[in-house]
Amino acid sequence: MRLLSRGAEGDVYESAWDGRPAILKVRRPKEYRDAALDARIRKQRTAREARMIQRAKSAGVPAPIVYFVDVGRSSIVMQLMPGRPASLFSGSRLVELSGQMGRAAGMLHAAGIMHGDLTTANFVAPPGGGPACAIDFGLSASTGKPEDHAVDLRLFREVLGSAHVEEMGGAWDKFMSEYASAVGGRRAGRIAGLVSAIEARGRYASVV
Amino acid sequence: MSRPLLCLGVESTAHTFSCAVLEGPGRGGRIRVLSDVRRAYRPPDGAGIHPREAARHHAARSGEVLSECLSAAGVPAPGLDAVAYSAGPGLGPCLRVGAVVARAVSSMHSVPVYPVNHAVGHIDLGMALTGARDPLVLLVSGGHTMLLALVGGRWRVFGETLDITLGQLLDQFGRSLGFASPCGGRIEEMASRSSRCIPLPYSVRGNDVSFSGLLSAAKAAAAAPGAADDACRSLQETAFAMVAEASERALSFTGRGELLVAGGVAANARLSGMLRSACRRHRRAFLAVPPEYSGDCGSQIACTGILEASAGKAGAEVRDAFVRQSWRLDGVDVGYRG
Repeated sequence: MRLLSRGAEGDVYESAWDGRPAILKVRRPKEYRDAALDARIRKQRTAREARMIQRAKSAGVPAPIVYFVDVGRSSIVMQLMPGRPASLFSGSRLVELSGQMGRAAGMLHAAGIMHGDLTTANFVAPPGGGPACAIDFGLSASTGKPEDHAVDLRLFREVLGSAHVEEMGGAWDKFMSEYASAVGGRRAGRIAGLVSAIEARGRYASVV
Repeated sequence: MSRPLLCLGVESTAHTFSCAVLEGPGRGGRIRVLSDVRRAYRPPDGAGIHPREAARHHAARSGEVLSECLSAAGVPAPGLDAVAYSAGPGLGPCLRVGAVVARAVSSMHSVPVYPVNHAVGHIDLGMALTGARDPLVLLVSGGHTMLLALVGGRWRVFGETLDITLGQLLDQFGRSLGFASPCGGRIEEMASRSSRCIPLPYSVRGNDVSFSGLLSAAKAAAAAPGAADDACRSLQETAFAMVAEASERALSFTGRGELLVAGGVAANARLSGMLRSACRRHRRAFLAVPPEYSGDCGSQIACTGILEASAGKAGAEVRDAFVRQSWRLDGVDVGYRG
């Protein structure tokens, strides 16, 4: 099997399922982690990822189809989503993608799903345009709490402010306007307020 | 290139008052530590730093630390090219002592004065001592738990704690067991006597971590009779694995080829072992600041002072050389890094 990527979360291999192109994602043991702790985390995240991708798809968020799950081996076979991670784009294309990511985030939240790792690296932009596809649901959670949804948005903003400094302003505005179109303006305003509150709680964020 | 500069660094952010003289940049940008003298305020067992008491300690020891530092370096005060002090972030009363010392040296001997961000100092000294070029930095101390990389002349935050820092987690847990701060060493020692790992909250969100739930659960676990060793090990294993995982994620995301770990908690052998293992998996270089320079020291401040002065930045006016208790590292312009 060909190794496609070695991420922090797992190794991803090229695979096939019933004649369709697929990927195999394996969460390998991390040797630095205590063995019991490591096994617990890998199993939990594998089961959670499979379950939450299904729920995201039912909510209408573009995401891969899950073909097969083996929690014991912490591996998942899922649909191969062609394209490149949104994090590799810049300029107006990234701003456009930010809108799609905002819309996807809004739809997830409206369905009571927190992504948990909402970064530009976790959306795949298809080669011919079309909506970006959400991946990597290992840290997701089932929650309708505004504070949890704000944690997602804060992370996305942190990524824009570090990895995509040039596009920060435009991309965030686009993200939020599309987010608002999915969850409603009042809700979006409330979550945005909580994002500022989390940032203000950050270390040395404001003068004591 | 002009001759290397001699810079006095004054550190007084929290528990440590320290003065150091560094010389540089020499050939290939080398920076040499000529002297580094420190005195640490020690709070009573089971208690944290009392800012006023710490500031009194610093004020009482400042004279002897300064003169010891200058004579150990063999540099008289008028021979200095710059004096740098840690202007923040930190405890106000403590920071002011260092600023007073720096202003006094500056105005008495007409030496330019440089206010330095304490956290930037940790990174600058770490890079100077390890030869790191463009690292992802993990800064772990009592004041910080952050993952940073240089983008466009500033240190950008790629991940951080959403509540307390790793140093605070260790100290607050240790103090609940009656240990003296800083508690990291004692916790590490007790952890080595256990091989159990009690399930505790493991909270990683993207590249960010959260420790407050872990702290409460670990305190509760330690309260059972005879469970202190197990609780220490479980706390270390859980917290350090969280930090190692966040670092791994940020390494993947930023694509940096080196991980530099700096700050007081960098001295912990178990943490650096985990980070080394994570780097091996991703074939990245692992760089750790030598333990004697990972904690707070005058060298880190002098190092940044040298970099700023040698890049042509003018010193501050003495009347503007004040302190900023809350001074986030991503707000500092580090133009000297090009």
